[in-house]
Amino acid sequence: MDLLRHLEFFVAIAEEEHFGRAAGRLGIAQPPLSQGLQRLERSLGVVLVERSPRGVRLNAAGRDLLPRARALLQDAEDLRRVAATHGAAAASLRVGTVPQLTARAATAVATACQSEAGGLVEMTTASTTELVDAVTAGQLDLAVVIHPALLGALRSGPVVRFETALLVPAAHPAARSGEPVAIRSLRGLRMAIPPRSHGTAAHDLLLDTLDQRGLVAPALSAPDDRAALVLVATGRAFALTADPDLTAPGVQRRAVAGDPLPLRLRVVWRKEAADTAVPDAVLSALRDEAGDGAVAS
Amino acid sequence: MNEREHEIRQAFADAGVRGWLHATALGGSRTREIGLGPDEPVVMASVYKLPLLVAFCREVDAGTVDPREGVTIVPAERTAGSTGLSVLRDPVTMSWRDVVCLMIAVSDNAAADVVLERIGLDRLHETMTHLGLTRTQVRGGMAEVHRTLVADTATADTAAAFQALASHDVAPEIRAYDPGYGSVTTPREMTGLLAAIWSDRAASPEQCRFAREVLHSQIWPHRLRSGFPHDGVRVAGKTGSLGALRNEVGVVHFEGEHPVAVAVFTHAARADAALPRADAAIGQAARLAVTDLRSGRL
Repeated sequence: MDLLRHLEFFVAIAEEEHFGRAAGRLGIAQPPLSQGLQRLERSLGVVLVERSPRGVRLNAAGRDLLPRARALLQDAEDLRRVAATHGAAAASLRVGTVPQLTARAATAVATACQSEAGGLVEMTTASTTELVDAVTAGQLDLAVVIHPALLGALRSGPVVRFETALLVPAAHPAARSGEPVAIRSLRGLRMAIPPRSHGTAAHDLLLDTLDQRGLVAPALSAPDDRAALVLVATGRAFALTADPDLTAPGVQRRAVAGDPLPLRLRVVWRKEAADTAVPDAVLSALRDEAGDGAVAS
Repeated sequence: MNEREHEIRQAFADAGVRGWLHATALGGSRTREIGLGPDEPVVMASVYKLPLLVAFCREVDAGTVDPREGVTIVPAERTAGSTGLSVLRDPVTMSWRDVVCLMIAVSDNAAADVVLERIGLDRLHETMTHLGLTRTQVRGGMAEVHRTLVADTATADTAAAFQALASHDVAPEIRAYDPGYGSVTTPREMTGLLAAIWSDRAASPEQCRFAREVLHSQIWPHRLRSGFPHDGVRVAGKTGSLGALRNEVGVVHFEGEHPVAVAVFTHAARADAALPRADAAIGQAARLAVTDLRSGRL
């Protein structure tokens, strides 16, 4: 039995109090989850949960063991992290960016890092939440994340704004004229947007802004531009993108009418970093990519 | 970290805020407490009016301030604010204790700065030292905070400074958000101060009763109180707000139980002037902590 994997099941069930939701969160079906929990209980020789038609709750033993399970999983995560830093020791700089940053801008960031720091630059793509955690834990040297976000004790640079365009299903009335699209005219569509857990504050800010402009759009999870494009092309949602080239058959690109809805980015790094030459170089590369007039200082 | 602290941390993260909390049952046979960064320095904002209230009470005890004496406050000298004397147009004359009442009940900035001027920073500092609150330091009133905001946002006046603070397109370094700069305390010291008020140790029993009454008259329902909407529970408290900072410290008292002191300080990722989710997270975090400290153990 893979103890860590089964403890992951246990923690997910404890937090969701529901087999279906826990399975959804883990990205597996419900039967293997339920069997996995039973195997864990047999292996530990103790029942951990009370099962009822309405859901599932920890019993006293489960509550007692939950913090230990979390601690074990955290330790395993730390072990992987440290191992990864040994594996990546050859890279002189480890940089993360959010998937919303276009390939072109991400390349400009990498090039700027390489010429400033010298040596190999390792680039990874992840959500704002994961990037902030990775920089905080020393797994990455710096990251480009979406603003606003909880940054904990990290240092951060000014906000850089990238212009965005709407991606609208070609069949939607709002896409018919070539005019900029008023947000409220997108009624009836959902919004393809990365999951809230990828960056709670920016996610809520965007949906609140749509709300303020007269559109209550349910969110449809799309972790990146590719996923969003598919949802738009199939007529299920609209999306916002900072990529000036992103389009596909069945998709119309339109400007946002009224105030723009920019992609706001910030460079983050650790407080104890000796100097800010690399973050400054990344900031300057981002500003160049964002273009004149889109920069806020 | 235990299960409850984990839940409180989740509640803060879900609302998009960093949070610090300390809660402790007042009275009862042994000390029980819950903390999330309870000893970390936090910016007080208007929570500084609580130490000021206690300092006022002690001056009354000492006979150096007559609480019934009238004081006239003219518009030109008033600190900006959204409530109380701060929004009135004409000179106002009222007793010192009523000025103090406004300072707490509606977090009146103008009233607070007048009281601060009367008491003095030195006396306020002595009061905190006397009560053993060595990490609580008031370094100025709201007028002083407003001056730094205007400077840090490179704006012309307080209104423009707050507008700049609420923008997501800029993220200036704001000294007023830094515990190393402004008026500072820790969550634990604020529950300690509340404990002193509730046990008649902060000043004379008569003045402590006055302080409790004034704290019960606070009008805001959106923070601590939002966690305890039920009948049969009284919430006394003092809020503090400054841009992305939202705080409240107070005492939650369920009928027939020991009161529980709780101090919650938050710093939101979002800059919006109004953020109901962040306000509600204060109530939610307090409810998680207070419920655990009640939990049928009385």
